[in-house]
Amino acid sequence: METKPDRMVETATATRLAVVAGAFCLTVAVLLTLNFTKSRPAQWAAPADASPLYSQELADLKARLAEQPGNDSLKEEIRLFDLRVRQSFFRHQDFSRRGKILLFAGLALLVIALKTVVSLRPKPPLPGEGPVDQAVESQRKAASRVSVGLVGLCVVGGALGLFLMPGLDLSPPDTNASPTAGQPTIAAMAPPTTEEIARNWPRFRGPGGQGIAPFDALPLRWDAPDGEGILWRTEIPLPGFNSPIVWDDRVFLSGADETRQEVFCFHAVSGELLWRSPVVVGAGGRDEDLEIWEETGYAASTMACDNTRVYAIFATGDLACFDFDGKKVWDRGLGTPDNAYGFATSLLVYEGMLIVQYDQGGDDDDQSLLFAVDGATGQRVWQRIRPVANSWTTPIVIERSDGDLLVTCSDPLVIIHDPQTGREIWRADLMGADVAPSPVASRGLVYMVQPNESVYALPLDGSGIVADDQIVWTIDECIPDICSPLCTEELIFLLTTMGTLACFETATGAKLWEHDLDGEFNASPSLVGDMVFVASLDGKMFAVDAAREFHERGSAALCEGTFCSPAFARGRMYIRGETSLFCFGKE
Amino acid sequence: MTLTACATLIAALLSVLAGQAVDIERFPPPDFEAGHELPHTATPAARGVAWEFIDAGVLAVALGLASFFALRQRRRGPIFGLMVFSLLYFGFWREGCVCPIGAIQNVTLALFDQGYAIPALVMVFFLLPLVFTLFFGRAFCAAVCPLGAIQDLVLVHPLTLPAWLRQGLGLLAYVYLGAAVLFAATGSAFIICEYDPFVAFFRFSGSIDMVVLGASFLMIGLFVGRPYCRFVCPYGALLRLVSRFSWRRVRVTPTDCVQCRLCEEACPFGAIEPALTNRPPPSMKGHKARLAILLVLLVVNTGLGGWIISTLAEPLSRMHSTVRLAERVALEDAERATRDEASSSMGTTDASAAFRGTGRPVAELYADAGAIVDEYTLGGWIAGAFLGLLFSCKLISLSVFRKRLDYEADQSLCVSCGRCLAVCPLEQERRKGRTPVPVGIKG
Repeated sequence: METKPDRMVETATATRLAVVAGAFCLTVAVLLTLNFTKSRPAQWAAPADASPLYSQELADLKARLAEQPGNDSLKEEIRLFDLRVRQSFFRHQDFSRRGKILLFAGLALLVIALKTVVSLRPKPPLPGEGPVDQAVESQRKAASRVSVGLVGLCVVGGALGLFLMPGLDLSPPDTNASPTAGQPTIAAMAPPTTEEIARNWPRFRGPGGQGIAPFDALPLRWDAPDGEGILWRTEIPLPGFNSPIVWDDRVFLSGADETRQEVFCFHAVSGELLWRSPVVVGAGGRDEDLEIWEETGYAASTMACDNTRVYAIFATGDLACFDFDGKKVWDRGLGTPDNAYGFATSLLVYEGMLIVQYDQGGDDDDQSLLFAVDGATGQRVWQRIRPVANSWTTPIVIERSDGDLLVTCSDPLVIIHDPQTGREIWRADLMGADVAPSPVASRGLVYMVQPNESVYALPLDGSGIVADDQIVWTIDECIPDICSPLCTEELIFLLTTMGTLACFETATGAKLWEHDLDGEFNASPSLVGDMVFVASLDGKMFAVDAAREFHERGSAALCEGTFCSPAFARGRMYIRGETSLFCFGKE
Repeated sequence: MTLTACATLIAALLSVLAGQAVDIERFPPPDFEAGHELPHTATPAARGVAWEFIDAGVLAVALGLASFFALRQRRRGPIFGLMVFSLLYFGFWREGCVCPIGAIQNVTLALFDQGYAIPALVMVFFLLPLVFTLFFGRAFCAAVCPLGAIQDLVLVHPLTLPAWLRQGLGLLAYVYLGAAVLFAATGSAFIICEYDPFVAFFRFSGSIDMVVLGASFLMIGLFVGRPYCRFVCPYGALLRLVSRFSWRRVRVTPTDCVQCRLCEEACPFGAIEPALTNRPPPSMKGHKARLAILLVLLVVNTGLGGWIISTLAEPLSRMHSTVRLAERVALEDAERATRDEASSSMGTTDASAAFRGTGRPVAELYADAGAIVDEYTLGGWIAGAFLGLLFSCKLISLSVFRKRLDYEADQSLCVSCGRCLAVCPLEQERRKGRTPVPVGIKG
């Protein structure tokens, strides 16, 4: 049987244990608190070395590096500082983790000790008082009623406090406001003039996306392997199937492989690589399982530019903007597109906005987008969700006196938008799967290619849903599957992958001629003056008359095969081969 | 003792600050541009289906054992042991989720949103404790709920709260229940989970708010028995209602009560109702008049409660992200309309920028927000009427005199912890084989 002295000893022991445990907890808690003050979250204004996320010093160093990109000692300094703060961060974390366990154990011991002390404490005998008088019970209940009433009043008071908060003011949007009211506005900049755009090659297939050179003549005599007629040739550091674009004295290209994405700028006169700038891979979430067709590659989309900035997009969905000196202006990760063969749609610049047709998935997946971002900031100006499947076409803008039209072509819809607001103007359900050739337009008609099946001519002035009976004409032979058509006012030229070049009337769709060229083709035909130029996969350039009768004007050898459509500016032709960029034309 | 109590308080207080150390945000990866491949971001695999069966099985067995220990064995020891096991399993091992308390919201959302499929395990966790309570009293609170267990374990020096305070504070749980159901039914928020006070301890991680809240409850819990269970827990509020209809419940004495008051002294939760004299209460006339007024007020309060909460539809609806977004977009548009772009100080939030990026008309967003406000109006009527009715019923129950010859456990408040059984002298006699075993009493 336990004796009184035994109980006193146990009580004293438990009390001492409680004191020790309490002191231990106090010490650990103080240390943890000190540790916490050195690694507290951002909103608590952490010290400079707390973690890389909050380090102002590191941010300053990075800002300095942006100004001095070639400063290797600064880079090393940043690396060392970054390493130091990361090590410090993980030390704090490790300390915290161990401290928590110790504190938990200490608190558990403290509670056990205190409970033991309380349980060993001698309890005074409690004499029974018998039943409680109803009068006492009555008073107790009265006090409880008051208490319940007070709690009820507190709840009502709380409700009153909420009631006094301002209500929702969801006024209807002002319908008289401009269509972009409440949306990011385009930063003030002087957009290029129409003349500037016309003499450059700022996008896939040049101004308007029609593949028509801004000059009339190109020397027909060249032979790249011998160097004849070639102005310069420069190796491209990374592969890609995108076509060159040109603005004044700069030629831009992009290249990428599984781990790298870069934008390249060449001097248009000398061919010198002026700069190359990386684009972070997987900014919108990296898809490690991304599989790209070899024929598409990671950089199939042709870049676009205006007079101050150049834009690039890759198969990873990484979109970036650079100034003409190669300095990144902004970048966005759109997330890897769900695209059967790899993303290949090219970019388009319109009045300071970059327009991106981002088709992916199936037509009922609501994944496909058409959006415009402010070229200066990357902020979205407008966006439309498209009920279409993945496609590989590039949109075009057709200038009209009653408002420009943005033509998009996909599976299964051709949709015409207002490029200012993204508002849909009309649509037609014409197309099928695997749409790759881009649309072209002339004579108030827009021509769309359903690969290997048909070419449709539709009037541009439709509205709502355009029915099949509004199709002006249909061509059912010599239909391309990759190459985009080339059209003049009177003629439309179609080039199949297997080399059949055919000419039709734009007025009626009647065939005028067809001719089998010696080669396979992925590049779209281009018009220079009165000649059609086409480049084959094995590196042969053909020139034929853009006329109602077939006449081959000649052919010349590039020393590399090419998949890409050439660019034309200032009397020169720029064409991307498998590994090099070539420049042909006038000195 | 004063020293140790102070040490406890200070240590607990500092542990609040120290606990924040676990909440540090992750920082971004280094800006590698030299081809370095960042490691894969690993996503934890989903928990195996077998574990769902195990969890449900453990819950059922624990409820069965808790009922058995409380009603048949009538011993505190096994109940305490089971409580510790539940704390370790449902608390620290399962990290406080899934739990019946939060399941209230899943069930509510499933009832009001046809597009939400409630997981079977959540349904089991919600229903099983209710069914056991209907048959055997609050066995779940006794030894299965990890939230109750952690509070029970830290109870060092229980103070007796006056009855009036207990009665008043006890109603807060119903207010919390009403709010949680309203917010869950409208798809706005799961506030029970957001403000779970102990999950941060179970997971050794959590936001600063959670840690502070949990530490506060535990500090109060050193001196006040199970403060969260008694005054806040919305599932406890449900169990209180259900346990009034329990088939069996714990009876303190195996035979006639000797009115020694040891059980009242031992119960840290104020669940023991005293025996009353047989004398009629004074001023029965006034008593009847008050009862009549309260019965009239029952109707008035029900309607008034509904009206009050329904008028709060707009401010309450701000809990819904769509309403907040609509309000933000309206503010941004109003700002832009009144100030030119250069002087406008209001930018966009991620949510408003994302919305504008979709190209959806703002009017559609406002319409969605308006529909949600309408849901809040209807829900406000129901929740307010429920609260008005509940407060009135409480007032009426406090105005009704009952005969009570023995010290008895209040069947709605008793959590079957077994402390009263451990001190009852008659129960001690029974354990020596001198009286038969009472298998609880019928409710």
